[in-house]
Amino acid sequence: MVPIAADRLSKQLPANLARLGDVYKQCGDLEIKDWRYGPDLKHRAASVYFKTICEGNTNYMKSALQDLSNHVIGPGLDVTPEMIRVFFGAHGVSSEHATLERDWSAVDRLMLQGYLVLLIDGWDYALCFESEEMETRPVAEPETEPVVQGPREGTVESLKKNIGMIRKRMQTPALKIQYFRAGGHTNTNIAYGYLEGVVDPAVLAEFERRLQPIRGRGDIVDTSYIEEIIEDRPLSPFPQFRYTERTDTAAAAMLNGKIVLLTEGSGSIMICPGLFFDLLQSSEDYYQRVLVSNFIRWLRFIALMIAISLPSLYIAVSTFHTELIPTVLLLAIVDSREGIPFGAFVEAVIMVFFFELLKEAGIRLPRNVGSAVSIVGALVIGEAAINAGIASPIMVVIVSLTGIASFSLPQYNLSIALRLIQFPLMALSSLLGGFGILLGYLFIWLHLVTLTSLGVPFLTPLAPWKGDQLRDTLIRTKLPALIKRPRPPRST
Amino acid sequence: MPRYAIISRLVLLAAMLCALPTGCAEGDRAEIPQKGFVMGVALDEAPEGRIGLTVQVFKPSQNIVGRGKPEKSFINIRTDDESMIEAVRDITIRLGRKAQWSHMRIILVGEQLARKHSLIALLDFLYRDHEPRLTTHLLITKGDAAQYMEIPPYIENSVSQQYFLSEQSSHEMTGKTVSANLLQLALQTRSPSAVAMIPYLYEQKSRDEVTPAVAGAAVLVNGRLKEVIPSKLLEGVQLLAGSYKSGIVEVPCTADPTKERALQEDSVEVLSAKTVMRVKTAGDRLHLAFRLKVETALSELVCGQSLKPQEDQALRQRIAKTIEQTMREGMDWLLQKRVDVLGVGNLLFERHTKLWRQWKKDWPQQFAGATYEVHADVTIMTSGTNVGKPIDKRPGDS
Repeated sequence: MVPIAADRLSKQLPANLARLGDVYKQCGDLEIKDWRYGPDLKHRAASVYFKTICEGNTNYMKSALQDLSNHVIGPGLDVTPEMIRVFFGAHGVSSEHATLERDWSAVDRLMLQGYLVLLIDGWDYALCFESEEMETRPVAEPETEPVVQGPREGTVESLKKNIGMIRKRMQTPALKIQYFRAGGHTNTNIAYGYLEGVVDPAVLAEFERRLQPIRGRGDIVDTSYIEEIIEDRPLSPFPQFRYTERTDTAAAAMLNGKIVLLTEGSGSIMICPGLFFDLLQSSEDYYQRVLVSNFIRWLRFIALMIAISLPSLYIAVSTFHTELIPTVLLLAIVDSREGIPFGAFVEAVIMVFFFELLKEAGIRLPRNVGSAVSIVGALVIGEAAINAGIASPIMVVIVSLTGIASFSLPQYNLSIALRLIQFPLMALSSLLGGFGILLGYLFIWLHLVTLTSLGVPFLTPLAPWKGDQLRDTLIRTKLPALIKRPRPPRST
Repeated sequence: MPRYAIISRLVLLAAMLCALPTGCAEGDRAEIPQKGFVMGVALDEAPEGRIGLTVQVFKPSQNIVGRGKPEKSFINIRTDDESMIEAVRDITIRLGRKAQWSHMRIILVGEQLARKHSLIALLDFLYRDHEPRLTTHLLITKGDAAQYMEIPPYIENSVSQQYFLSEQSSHEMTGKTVSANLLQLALQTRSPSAVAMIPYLYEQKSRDEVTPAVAGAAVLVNGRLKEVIPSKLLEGVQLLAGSYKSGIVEVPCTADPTKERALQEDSVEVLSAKTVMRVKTAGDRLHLAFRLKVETALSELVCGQSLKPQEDQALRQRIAKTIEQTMREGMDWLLQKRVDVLGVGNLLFERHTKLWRQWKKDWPQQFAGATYEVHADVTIMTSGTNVGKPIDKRPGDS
């Protein structure tokens, strides 16, 4: 942290300016402007601000002086420092965006947040005007969570706008938003919100307890930094929180007793606690008709199983349990596997690895180059790998199906987790066949039942069994049943 | 999670992985290219009383991607030995790959061998080993079974698959053969009457072409081949036994057997047939009553005029007569050959156990002395046209 002197402002403007010049030396975007006012323009004042984050158009000096004099125009020749001191000292600050500070620490903080600071010679107070002006992205449809039907409003990188969008959706005093600053070099403004009366107080208390280490001394760039600090098991492959860029999702989550956390400068809203079945749900589940959304939900469950275990199932079946393959398919597989130099496991690892590589390349590259990668990649892992005798067509089918299945999960961090898990499963299945997969499942299951998120068991309505919450887990019941449901505080 | 918990879990995982019967698992483990997939087996008599085994193994197309047409997608391996398992093990010597039995389509047994040995004893290995399925189908072949393995298949990958499909469709579509797998063979052979039927494969000559055909059935008594039911009679036998699925019944226009029959007969397709067999005993006498309910569809209507109610009735009568006649022919043959393929003995064993114990010793004679009656109840479900008239007739012909 930059040592910021906690002492008071000086009455002498040159001393104050010297102090500023000292602390902010080589900060090229700090603007210090001298002003003169009063009779014969003999009194000095200075406005200090960062020109990169402040709006430069408003003449704050003038607006400050306007508070003093009745007339609107003119250079303020009749204003004296005495008048300023008396006016602001007695009545406080009348301008809505202005505050009066006498500590350097407060002045520094405000300045860095985009305030314009007005220093008047002969007065040990600083007049701070909020004039932050930063360009943000316009509100647009979130790219990571598009829906066919439903609101298309996505978050932007402004905390204020994001919370405003949430507040607009939840017009109730029960919606509590609490702010704090992370401190550190970033001094990020962080906010969390919940619905009082719906959120479980125990979970909220635990959440706030875990936020303690962040308060005042953490360099937080994005919401995900906080995830890693407050999550129960950082080494688990499974994400224990859910992310969204949709304010409607955030609102719906709060209605279910969740806590949302936002940071300034990031469009990610973190929903806590993120339980296993939450990670498999999407806001569109509630926008579609009940049969359709149940169908899609089950499609996702199946996709989950495919994403975890299809390659390992193939390995197990083809090296241990060939009798399970229908004869005609088996003969086709036998045909395609003939002349492949690798065993099923090595072949699968190679193909999955190349697929992951390709996916990573596609994400990182600029979009116009990315399409070239996908064309080359499709040729390489599709046609060419087969023709070159590296992989069999069936393996390409398996790997692509696995990839597609992992893409169909609504949470990206969950699909990455599943891709990680598939490797040990593949190894187990190549060693022990179906028994190995079973063993792998057993360990995954053991891990899942012991995992918690903010102290809430990860598999909650299933284990521990909560019959009343099952209405929106494996299946989604009709919406009236979900909405009318009284929401007692969740017991953990 | 505390560190000791992580460590203890890792230890547990390691222990489980090590302590597992990995040796057993290793035995099953083999990449697909290391296996030879057995498509079919043919068993014959070999010189010096040995068993001649011919194993048809799938041969993958060697070119990558499986494109292009290989000349043959299977190879036949022949081994001779005293026991089947010895012969099976010898395959590896020739092939270099481990035989995988789980996808075997068909088992062919030569007629000679089937007459000499009990099939159940012969195939003991297939019943015992975990790889072959009990649902594998069997055929008895006329002549050497091995030669049937050499015939190139028409459409299928291997001729074994062709035999398997022929047996299925022949049984289900024409009623000219039965269907039998290892499990059914064992059940039938070990049943009280100990008679089993197995489809029969032979080479049929028609218009200078020799083609393999699955029709008729071999009758096994106590596991040994005794008789072969020709396909003509088998329809009647299956109608009696209740195993008839579907087929064509030809109904001659006149009852006069001397008349020419080409284009002088109606044909109906049997959609479903249900037989109820009743066994009546009186002292030493055995009487069998068969009631058959048949649902049919008209396939060819040549003799009739139009289907007015009374003509419809007459047609149903004619069909029923024909079917009853077919059943009678079958039954007479069974009685004459003294083979109880209908499972009358099983029924007696269930219902009249005491009587069965008396008759058991000379059951074939008892069976041969049985009297019987057949009744067929025919329903015509559809004529295939709206009016049910012969297509050949013009309006006004009536």
